[in-house]
Amino acid sequence: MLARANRKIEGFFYKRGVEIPEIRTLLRNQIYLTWTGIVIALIFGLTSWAFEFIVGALLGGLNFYALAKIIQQLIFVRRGAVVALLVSFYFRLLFTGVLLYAVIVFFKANIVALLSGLSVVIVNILIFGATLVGQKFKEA
Amino acid sequence: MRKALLTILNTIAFIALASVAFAGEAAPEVISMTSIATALGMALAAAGCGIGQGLGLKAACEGTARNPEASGKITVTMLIGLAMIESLAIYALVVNLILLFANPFLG
Repeated sequence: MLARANRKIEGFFYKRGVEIPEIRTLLRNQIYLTWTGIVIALIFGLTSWAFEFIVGALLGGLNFYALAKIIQQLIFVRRGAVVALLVSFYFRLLFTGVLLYAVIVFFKANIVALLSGLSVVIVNILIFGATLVGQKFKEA
Repeated sequence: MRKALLTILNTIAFIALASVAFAGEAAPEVISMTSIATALGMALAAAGCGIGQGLGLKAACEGTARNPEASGKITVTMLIGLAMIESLAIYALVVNLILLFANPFLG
């Protein structure tokens, strides 16, 4: 069942231009970790906490997805790659800032829940890094 | 000796300033200082992250140019690095937004 879900999610990302398998794995794990966080929050009866966690995780996840998509192309651009990355970075930061402003000011979101959601990407990367420890790579 | 004296004087200055800041509830000076602090904090965070990302990308492009077969692994490593750098900017953004709009010390 898990293998089928993995295939479905990875197929979804592959269709949207994420060609490197490791990046697809990272994006898939991001979804799983977000779900785990929501389930844990709901088990403890933290409904609003779960909502704010989702907002944070979605923001972090979308940023990560956009970054994953752009760097696949950037690495092959010979000129102007740094400018493209910086423009994309500042636009995403602006979008994230506006959304975070709305959530903090208008919806009075719980900051801890929001930061926990935003930290899902970091947790995902740390787990991915931990799985790589001890693996041997062939020198190219 | 000089170092110790400077440290002590600095600490006293910070403590004195903090007490002034807490005493004046939402005083105009405090609000203006908070605004300057948030603007500076966000500018430093964004500029630092931008430079860091640019340097990372430059190194990755050079690595791919030297060894095009390793581009897949280089891209994954770069993504991890860039995501880590970017999350720092997002954390700085959250802290600055809290300071500006949801500051617990301003009541």
